Amino acid sequence: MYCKILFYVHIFAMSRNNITGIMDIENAKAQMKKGVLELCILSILNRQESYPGDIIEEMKASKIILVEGTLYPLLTRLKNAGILTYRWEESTSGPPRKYYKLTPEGEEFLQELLGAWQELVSAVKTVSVKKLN
Amino acid sequence: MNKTITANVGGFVFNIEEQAYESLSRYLAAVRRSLGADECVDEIMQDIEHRIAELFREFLQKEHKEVIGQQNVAEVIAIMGEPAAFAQEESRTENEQASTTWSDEQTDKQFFRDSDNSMIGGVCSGISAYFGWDPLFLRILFVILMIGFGSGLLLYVILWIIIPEAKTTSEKLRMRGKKVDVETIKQRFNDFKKDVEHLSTPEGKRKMRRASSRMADAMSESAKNFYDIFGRALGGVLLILGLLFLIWLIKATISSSFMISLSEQGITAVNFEEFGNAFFGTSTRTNLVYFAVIGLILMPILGLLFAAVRLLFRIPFKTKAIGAVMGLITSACFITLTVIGIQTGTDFAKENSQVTTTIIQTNSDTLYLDSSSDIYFSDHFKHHDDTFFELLKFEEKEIVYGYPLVDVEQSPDSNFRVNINREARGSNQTEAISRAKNIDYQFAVQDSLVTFNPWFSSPRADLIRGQQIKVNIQIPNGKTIHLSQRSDRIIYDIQNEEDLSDEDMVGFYWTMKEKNLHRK
Repeated sequence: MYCKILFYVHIFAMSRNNITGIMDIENAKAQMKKGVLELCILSILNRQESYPGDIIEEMKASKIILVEGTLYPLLTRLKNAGILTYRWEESTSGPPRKYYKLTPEGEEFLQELLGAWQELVSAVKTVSVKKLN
Repeated sequence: MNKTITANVGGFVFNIEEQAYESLSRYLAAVRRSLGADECVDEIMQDIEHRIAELFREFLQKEHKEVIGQQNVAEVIAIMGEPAAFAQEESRTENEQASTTWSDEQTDKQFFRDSDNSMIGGVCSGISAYFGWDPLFLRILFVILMIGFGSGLLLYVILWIIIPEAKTTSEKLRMRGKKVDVETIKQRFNDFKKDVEHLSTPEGKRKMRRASSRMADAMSESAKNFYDIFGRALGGVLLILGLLFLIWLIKATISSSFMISLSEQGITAVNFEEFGNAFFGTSTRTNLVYFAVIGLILMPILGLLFAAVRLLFRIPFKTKAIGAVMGLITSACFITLTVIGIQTGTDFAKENSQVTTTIIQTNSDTLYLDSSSDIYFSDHFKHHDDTFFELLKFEEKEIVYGYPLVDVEQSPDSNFRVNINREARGSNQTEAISRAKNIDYQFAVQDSLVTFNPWFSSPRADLIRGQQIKVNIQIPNGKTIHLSQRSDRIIYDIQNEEDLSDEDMVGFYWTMKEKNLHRK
C-alpha cells in the first residue's frame, strides 16, 4: 500500500516535470508533426477517397510520418468524431479495405484547420523574421 | 526445418513459423497495450490486423512461399512501427524508450477455448494454452474422469459452455499470454531499483515514470501471478502424488508374482503366472496381460510426474513426442487387455451341468454327513470366508479347487439320494460338457455314512472355466440327517426351520418335515 502511494506521488511529480521542463529537439519536432498530422490526412482525403495504404504512401513521400501504426488510431478517432466516414471495398490482395472520405462536418473542420494553419504560418514567419532582424 | 502454427490474422489463415508467431503475438499485445483503454481499441486492432494480413499476402506472393517467417514479421513491424508509435498522447522520445522494452512485457491472459487445436470443444487445449501445458495430459485426465467417475463428461460440458471460444487473433494471443515466473518479477524489481538510482538525472526521471507505470501494471497483474503460484503448488502436489503412486506400483509389481499375499496363516498362495496361464490359456497371453496392466497404471503416473516437473521447473520437454509415445503405449495396453479379455470371456459363454445320482442303500433312518480331512487346503477355515484364490491349488497335472457346495432338500420318494452336479463353462456346449465331465470329485458311502471330499479337481488343460461342484442331498420326509462338526466347510446355505446359519447347524440332527429341516 505504501509503495502504491509512493508511485502515485512519483507519477504526479513526473507529469509536472513534463509540463514545465525538459524539452529536446526530437521531442519538439515530433510534437509539431503530430499537430499537423490531422491536417495532412484530411487534406489528402479531401482530394479523393482513399484507403490507409494510399494515405501512407503520400505521407511517407512527404516524410510526415514514417510508420503506419500512427495512422490507424487517428483514422478511427476521426471517424468516431464524425469527421470521416468510410465504406468497405473488396480487395484482390487480401481483406476488404476501408475507403475513407470527409463528411460535410469534416469539410468544415478542414477549412477551419487550414485557416488556422495559414495564420500560424504567417505568425511564425513574422516572429522569426523579426527575430532575425 | 521449423514448426509452423496456423493463425487467423484479420480473418485470413496464415501458416506462421513458431518463433515468428511468438514475436507477432507479443507485438500485437504490446500494440493493444499502448493503445490504452480507448473504447475503439477493438476496431483499431481489427484495422491493424487487416493491414498485417494484407502485408503478409503481399510477402507470400512476392517471395513465392507459403509460410510467414521471422523476417516477414520484422518487416511488418518496421512498416507498422514500434508499438509505442500507436500511442497518441505521449511524446516521441518517451515512446522510443518504451518501445525498447515491449518485447519483454507480459500480455493479458484470459481463458478461452482453443478451437484451432481442439479434439472436441477445445476446452483442454484452451486451458493448456493458458497454462502453457501440453493438452494431452488434460485430455488423459478427462478421459480417466469420464471412464472412472463419469463426472468428467459433466465437467467438460460445463466448461465448454462457460469458457468462450477464442475467435479473433488478439483473443488467441491473450489465451496464450506470456509465462509469468519468478524471474520476470525479479527483473521488474531490479529495473525498478536501477531507476531509483538514476532518479536525479532528467533522463532518469523519465525512466522513473515508466517504471512506476510498469510497477502498477505488475500489481494489476498480481492476480495472474497468483495463477502461476497456484500452478507451481499444483506441480508440487502432482509430484508427490506421482512419486507415491510409482513407489506403490514398484512394490505391487515385486509382490504380485504372488497374486494373493500369504494369508494370515501362511497356507495358500497362488502364483500369478500359474493362475494367468490357467485363466488366459497361454503364457504369452499371461505375460501380455501382466505388462498391459503395469503399462496402464504406469502411464498416468509418468504423465503426472511429467506434468509436475514441467509445472515446477518449466523444462522445455518435447512434450508432443513424449505424449504421443505415452498415448501409443496406453492404447496398445488397452487394446491388448480388451482383446485378451474378449477372447477369455467368450470361453465362458456356455454353461453346462452334469448330474449323477447315487441312491444310498441303508436301513437307517438317519444319514450321517461328514467331510474328509482336508489335504489340500487347511483344516483351519472361516466358514466360506476364504477367497477364490485361497481355495486354488496347482498340481502337476490338475487344478485343485476348494469346497464343493452341499445343500439338503426333501427327497421325492423314500430314498436317501446324493446328486452330484458338475458345472463348467466353455465357448460352446460341447466344450462345456467335456469340461464338466472332466471334473474329478469323490465321496465315500459306508452304509448310512456319507463322506465328502472338501476339494475337487480338473485337468490343467481344461483351464479355470467356472468349474464347480454342487452336491444335492435328498432326505425323505420324516427321516433325519446328522451334520458332523467338520462338515461346516462344505454345507452351503441349507434351508432350515430355525433359520440358523450353516456354521450353527453342524453337530445336530435335523429331521425333514414338509420340505423343511427341524432340529431334533
